[in-house]
This record gives sequence, C-alpha cells and structure tokens, in this order.
Amino acid sequence: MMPPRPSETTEGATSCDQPRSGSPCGAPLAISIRDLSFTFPDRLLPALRNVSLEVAQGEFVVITGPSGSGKSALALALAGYIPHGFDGTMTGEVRVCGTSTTETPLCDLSVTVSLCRQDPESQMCTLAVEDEVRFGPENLALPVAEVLRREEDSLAAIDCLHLLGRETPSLSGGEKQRVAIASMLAMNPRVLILDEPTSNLDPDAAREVLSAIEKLRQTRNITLVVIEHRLFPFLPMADRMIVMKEGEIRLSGNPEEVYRDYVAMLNNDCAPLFAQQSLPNRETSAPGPVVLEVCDLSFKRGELEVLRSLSLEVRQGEFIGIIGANGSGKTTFLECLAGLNQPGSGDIEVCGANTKRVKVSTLARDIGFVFQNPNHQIFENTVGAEVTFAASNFGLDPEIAASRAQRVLSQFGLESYENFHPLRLSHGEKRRLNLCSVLPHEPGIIILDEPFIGQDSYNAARIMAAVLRLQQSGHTVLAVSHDIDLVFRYCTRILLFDAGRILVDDVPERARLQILELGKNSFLPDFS
Amino acid sequence: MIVKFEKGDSFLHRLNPLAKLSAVVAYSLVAVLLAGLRLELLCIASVLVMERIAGCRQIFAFMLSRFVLVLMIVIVIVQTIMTRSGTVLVTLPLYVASLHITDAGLLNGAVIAMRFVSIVLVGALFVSTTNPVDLVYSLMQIGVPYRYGFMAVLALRLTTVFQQEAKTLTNAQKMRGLNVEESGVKGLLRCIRCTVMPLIVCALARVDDLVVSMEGRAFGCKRSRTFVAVSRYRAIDKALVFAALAVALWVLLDLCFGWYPLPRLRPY
Repeated sequence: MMPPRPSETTEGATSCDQPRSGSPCGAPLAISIRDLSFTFPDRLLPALRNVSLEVAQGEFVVITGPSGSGKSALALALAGYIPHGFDGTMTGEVRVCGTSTTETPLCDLSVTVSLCRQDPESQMCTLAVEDEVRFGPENLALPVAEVLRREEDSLAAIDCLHLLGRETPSLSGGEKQRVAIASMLAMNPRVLILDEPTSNLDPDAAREVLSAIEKLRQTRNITLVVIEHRLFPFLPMADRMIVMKEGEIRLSGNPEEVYRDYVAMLNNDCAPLFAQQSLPNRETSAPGPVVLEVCDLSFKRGELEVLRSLSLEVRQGEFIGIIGANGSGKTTFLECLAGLNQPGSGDIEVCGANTKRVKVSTLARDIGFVFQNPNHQIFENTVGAEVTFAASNFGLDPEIAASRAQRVLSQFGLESYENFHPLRLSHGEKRRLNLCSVLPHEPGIIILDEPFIGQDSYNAARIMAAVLRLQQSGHTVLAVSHDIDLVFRYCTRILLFDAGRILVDDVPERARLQILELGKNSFLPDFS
Repeated sequence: MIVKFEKGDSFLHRLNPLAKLSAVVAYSLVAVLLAGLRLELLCIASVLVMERIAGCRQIFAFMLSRFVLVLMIVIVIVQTIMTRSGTVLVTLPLYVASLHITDAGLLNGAVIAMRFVSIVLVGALFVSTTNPVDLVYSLMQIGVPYRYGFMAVLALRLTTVFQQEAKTLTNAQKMRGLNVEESGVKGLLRCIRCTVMPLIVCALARVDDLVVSMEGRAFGCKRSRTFVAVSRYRAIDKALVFAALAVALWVLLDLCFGWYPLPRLRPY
C-alpha cells in the first residue's frame, strides 16, 4: 500500500514523531522545505529557486532531472551541508524531522539525516568494512556495545553481514555502495538520501543495491530520497517521483505518471539531436575491411587471468557495444587494443600493425581512446588548445589542426567555449570535449570507456548522436557501457564479457536471445 | 622499489605496532651512536635473519635495489673525500689540489654507508610486518589526536587510488601522443604540467565527497571518540618496550658518561 502523499506546500514543520497538524493524511513530516533558493558563489544563476516540498515519514521519493537542475544541491541542503559546508546565498527554510538545518550544527543533524553520494570509493575513509561501518557511531563516542550493535544491525539491514572482515579496496562496486549505505545507516538516521547510488555500477551490482534499498524500505521506517537518472528500476518501489529542471520542481506525483510525462519531455528535447541521422543498419554484414584483429588474446595481472583466449575481428564502420560485470575484463581488453597492455599470449593487429611491434604513440594515431574520468584526460589551459593537443603532439600542421578543431568543436556544440579553461565546463561538456580531443588527428578507430556515466538522458543522447555521426562517417567505434538500453538501441554488434571471456558476440537482436538463454537477464535492455 | 606491508602470521607480525616501533627507535639509536664495521655488519645480518623469521620477501631485494646501492656508493665517495685524518693510502693529483684518500676516510665511508643501510632495512622490515592502520589506531589510543590520526588513515586509503589515477593519466597522455619519457628540463616541466595538475584536480574533487562522508558521520564533533578495536600489549610486547627503552637509555647515558668502551668512530 502506498503511503500518503503530502501536498507540495507546508503550513508548518513538525517533528518526525508528531502527527502533522492540518495535514489531510495526518502523517508525520520527515522533510519540509519552504521557498528554498540557493546560489553558489561563482554562479550567476541559482542552483535552487523557490523550492517547496514536503515528504512524509517513511515515504520513498525519487528525484530526477537533467544535469545542473539542482538535484544534488537539494540533497546537500537537506543534509545541512548547505549552508554549513558550502558557501553561497541561501533563502528559505529546510526542516528535517522538525529540526531547522540552518539553526542546527551538522554534528547534530548527522543523527537525523544522512547523505550517501554517487561514488562510494571516494566516501570511504578507512580500509576495513567493520571500521567503515563503525566510523560514525565511534565518532559519536557511543559505548562499545552500542557501536557493535549498530554495526551488526546496519549490515544486516542490507544483507551485508558476510562482508565483515573484508578490506574496502577489495570490494566490488556494488559491495562498496552497500557498505557506504550501511555506514550511513549506522548513524540511525530518520532520513537517508542517496545521490545516484547506481550510476557507477554494472547491472548486477546495481541490482544488489536496489535489493538493499528494497529491503530497507520493508524493514525500517526510514524516509528515503533517491536521486537517479536510471529511473526504470525505481518505479515499482517509489511512492513519489519528482522532476527538477533549472533549480525548480517541474513535475511531482505518482511515479508512473510522472515518468511518462518526463519521458515525453525528454523525447521532445532529444529528437532534434537525431533528426539528421538514421539508426545503424544491423542486418547487413559488417561493411568495411578488417581494421582490428584479435587472435587468441590472453592477459594476466599478477596471478589473475584477466583475459582468456579472446579472438575477434572488427570491421570498419562497426559500432560495437561491450557490456559485462565490473571486473570482467572490458577495460583491460580496450587497453590491450590500444597497446597500453601487452598481451601475455596471442596477437592484436590494429590496421595491420601488431601491437607488440609498434609503440603506443604510433597506435594512437589510429586509435582515439576516451577514458572514463574526464579530468584524467584534460592537459591544456583552454578548450581550443585541449582539442589540438594530440594533433600537435603528432606533428600535424597547426593550421590544419586549428581548422579541424574548430569543426569538431562546432559539431559538439562547444565552439563558444574555445577560450574557456576546460575545467570550467560541466561534466557533460567535459565528456564531449574528451571526444573532440581525439578527433582532429583523424583516427579511424574510436574507443570509449563508459561514456555515459554521470550523464543525464539528454547529455547521453547528445554523446550518442555524436558517436553515431562518427560511425556513419566511416569510423569504427568500440564503447564499454553499463547503459544496456543505449547499447542495444544503437550498437551494431554486442560483446558480452564474463570473467575474461566473450560469452556473446552478435548483432543486438540475436545477442538478446543468447543472453536470455544464458540467464544473464541483468544484461538485457529494459525496453525488451 | 617500494616496500609495502605483507600480511603474515609471524612473531614479528603479531607484535604490537608500538612495541615494534620502540624497538626500531632503539635499534636506530644503537646504529647511529655506535659505530664499527663488525657492529654494523651484525646489525644488517640481524635484520636479514628477522626477515627470514617474518617470511618477508622484500627486504633482501630492497637491499640490492638501485636506490640503496647508489646511495651507499655516494656516501662512501663523499665520506672518503671529506675525511682528512688517517694514513694516506692514495693521492690523486687534481688540477686545483691533490685529493688524499686515507684509511680512516674509507673506513668512515664504509661504516656510515652500512649504518644507513641497516637503518633503512630495519625501517623496511617494520613497514613490511606492520599493518599501517593498526599503527595509526595504536597511536590514537596513546593520545595522538584522532583528527591527525585519521589524516594518516586517509592518506593510506587514498594512496592506491592515486596510484591508479596516475597510471590512467599516463595512459591518457600516451594515447594523445605525449612522449611521457621525454628527458630534459622541458620534458620534466611538460610532464609536471600534464600529470600534477590533473591529479590535483581529481584530489580536490575527492575532498568534497570525503568531507560530506566524514562530517555526515559526526567526524570531529566530539573531543574524543570510541575505539572498538583496542591495541593490546601482551607480556612480550611489554618486555620489548622495556628492553628498547633500556638499550636506548644505556646508549645515551654511556655517550654522556663513557662508562663502557663501546665501538665508536672518531675520524674528525
């Protein structure tokens, strides 16, 4: 049964335990926001504009919206980091379980509301699971028995007791995210905010986190606020869905209805991106000559066999989507193709050159490699210089490089940023810049490692439209992604990796059937 | 070569980190304040025996690493040149002045080089048999403020992350045609600009998440905090601490009062 849904405005905040006076449902309020606006110091536009919201205790709210729409700012305001931890101009009021976040120190708020952010790796401050989960209660100087009780309870709440004794660096992505959630639960918060909890995870790991959230929902009377781009799995669980845009709440209500309206809104926004393009033809055989040949490739890291006897041919103009669990060897495989990892056994030929016999810098002329984190591949002080960086290293004539840079910048909608520092761009813009930066020296093969992580639907579509343009102009594209829907929708061929082997290698329609037969259902698209 | 903690269940691994640290300090004092070829050789040999007992595989390899060997040679050369006392063995006629190589200079160089090696090796043995987190927790329990202690834990936590990020950066540079092995000042400056800046940007991005994560769990709210994992001192740990204190005290007092003719170099 769905919990009652409070209205969008409030007449007064109450504590979590007291019924809300004047409320039509009488449910106690967990969150009450009134006319909240916030502007970061270096920004002209406010991150939040007159946001008013009420959330009942025990309610499960999913918040979505484009990048920069104010979702994370709202999460920071709910947890009290705005105004306590972040500078800026704030007006309005936020109350969590009746406590004003402005008047209460962060320390006291931490026992009421907890915020778990996107990347679990960067939130862990100890090296063992038990230390991580105990960290909060120990900081509260609770008695040892109480600390241990909370440690056990919070791990049990999300089925993670088996992780006790493990070192945090050795955990998988899903396990790390679950430990991060458990460590927040150990604070016994009344409100738990999860900021994109599944965005860095492969489908299996995302499923683990989802089931942990589902269990929490069933066993604890906790108010959950989840910020997400991947909405589909949350629809059956959520009580309410909110869509934010430009710092405002645009849609709010029944998840199915809001989702339908949001998808329509997105389709409307994204349609022009694909207006000039047709979807790749998947039925015809691979179009061009072989540009990449992998023969019996194996690769070991220490004692661990990461890749096992892989063989495949890639033809010019193919768009290959590589999927698989974290640690299945996808990124290592891409690094082998680029010569960054030398095969333990077997051979790789890129445009006829054996990767064992040529330097990486020689291979790099034929392969444009876009890595996962945009900040790892920005080396210059202006966007213009960044785009010509590789071309100038390869000795391309500066005039030719500059004219090609202009062309790709305008293709990717970044021409107005040419003199900006690259680090001033948004995450989505940086990703497009990364792609621009490997194009002016015109490599025939483009390799993309997780191009859609942290991208909202519009930006993901924008990147996909750019990649399709490249593919249709004769480039060969290989992309690793956890976004199964996008991979199945746009790629001409799917590779499913599993424990260093290629389990499935086929066109999407047949790949889908094979994956179904293998029982790897988490790698099937939601739209199938 | 980087020496890292190796998991194990040896006698050395089981010792309390602070007891081990006190023994390392006493050992280093002995190695610094006393000198003599036989004593330094004994010190090095004792570390290598301990390495066998602990089942570590890094110490001997570390002793033969380029870093240690080059530093030893440099120390011997510098000491040989700088020491004027002793019997002249060889005179090298140089353009400005002749260089006299004396027996005391060579002895001094050899002893100081071995002293350096023995201290470095005992430090490496300590690192390879001590879980750094246990050490930090032990220090916090004896009064080191936990805010500082967790700075060390965080550094340990993030070391592997930054190593991984630095590797990705180098790979990204290679794939954009940057010659990462370019020598000379220009190459060095280019490498610093293209590596250090992105690393700093990534580190700063992490700070935001870490602050939210730690303050969101009441870090720094109370003057003191609970420690569930208590660092225990067994009888052998206590004995080691007392022995280390006694040795250190004896060597220091003997240095002041000269009770016993301990081996010392007096080359100057």
